[in-house]
Amino acid sequence: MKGFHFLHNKHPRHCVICYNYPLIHLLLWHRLYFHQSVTIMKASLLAAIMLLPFAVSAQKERGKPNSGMLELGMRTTTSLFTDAGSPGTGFGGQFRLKFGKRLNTEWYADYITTDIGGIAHRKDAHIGWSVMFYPLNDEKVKGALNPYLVAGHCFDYTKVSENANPDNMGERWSSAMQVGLGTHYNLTDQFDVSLAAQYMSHLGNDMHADVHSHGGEPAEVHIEDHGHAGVEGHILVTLSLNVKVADLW
Amino acid sequence: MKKLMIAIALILPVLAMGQNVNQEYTYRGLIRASSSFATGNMPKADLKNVYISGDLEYYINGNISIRSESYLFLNSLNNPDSPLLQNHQLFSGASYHFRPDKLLDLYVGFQPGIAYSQTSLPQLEPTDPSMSEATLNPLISGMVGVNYFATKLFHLFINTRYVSGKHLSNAPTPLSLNEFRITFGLGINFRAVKR
Repeated sequence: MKGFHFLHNKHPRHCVICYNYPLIHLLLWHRLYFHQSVTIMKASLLAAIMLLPFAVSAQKERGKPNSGMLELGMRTTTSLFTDAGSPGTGFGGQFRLKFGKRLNTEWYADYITTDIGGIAHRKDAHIGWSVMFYPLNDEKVKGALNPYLVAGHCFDYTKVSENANPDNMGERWSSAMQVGLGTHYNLTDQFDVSLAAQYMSHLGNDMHADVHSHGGEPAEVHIEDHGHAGVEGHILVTLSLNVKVADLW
Repeated sequence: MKKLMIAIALILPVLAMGQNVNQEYTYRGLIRASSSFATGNMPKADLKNVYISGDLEYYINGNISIRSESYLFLNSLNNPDSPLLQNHQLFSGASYHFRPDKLLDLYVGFQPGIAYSQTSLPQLEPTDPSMSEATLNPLISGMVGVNYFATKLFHLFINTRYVSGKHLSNAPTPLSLNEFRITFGLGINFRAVKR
């Protein structure tokens, strides 16, 4: 028991707490705040250890503002200029992890459906990540705009099928690259609304649907899944809502 | 004298509320939740639907809250042969509250969402399927509403929302899920973190 008392000179039997609860006595706060006989040198050492995280934190504020910031968000995506003709609507989510003063990353997943001429439809699922670079202002404070360049990569699944004849379908797994521009608008220090437009280019097999109508005959859809790799793309406009949830380092 | 006593008893709560001049009714850490019935009108499909709704909202400060909402589809009221068999929906997004210092909390919000929907199919032959496959369809939704923080724990609310989406499946033609929806009722509110 005596060994527990290196921070003060009271024997445990003189201290009600230490005598009855030796484990509590082990806790630093008890030693520091409940006994006045702590030596100045040991207290200084302890204070230095306790202040160390603040010192490190202060260095981070000077060098890498907002680095380590983790954000969570929801997104809605509109897919434009697809070969389906009409825009697609999507739903998804993302988290962001900031690695540097002007460098952020976004890890996302979304699901987009597109009507093809009222007779077929297309489903796209994306899971991927993007790097965001802030050339102008990266300070995420209330009222600030943070324009950014964004580029990234994703894996995607696409399925196109005719409504009335689901056997007339095509599907593929592929990967894609996306590049674009966006901006955050910080409604508060903790919350932002982001709007981004990206061109996404699929790198897998070329697959698309063509709707044909001849005279008064009902329209037909031809789903073409070319075995060869092609470059097929579309523009994704994403509106997202994001909340800062933690400062990880 | 009796009438005077009744009048004082009625006015007392109003006076008590009047004392909270500088109080903020929406603040960081406030949690608000409610459950009610919702009615919706789908103009394109000419359907009037009924849902059970539930929502949960967390205020990250007096002006901004994050909010999730669910709708359990019950039925279409105006059409016994409604093509809509299922239309359960989930939303998640945020709201902007204009006046945190007022009892009347007016807000606007935006919520992406997703519908789990299914429609009936015309049966040309008895062997044909009678319903489409149930599919997940993304939605976009905007809302306007008001909460009245009548007491410390309870509030009245009215929420109006416009939902935009499309049911895409093996049904020959897609069904528009665009809908104007209204919900109102009594909700619960409490503080989750210390100020």
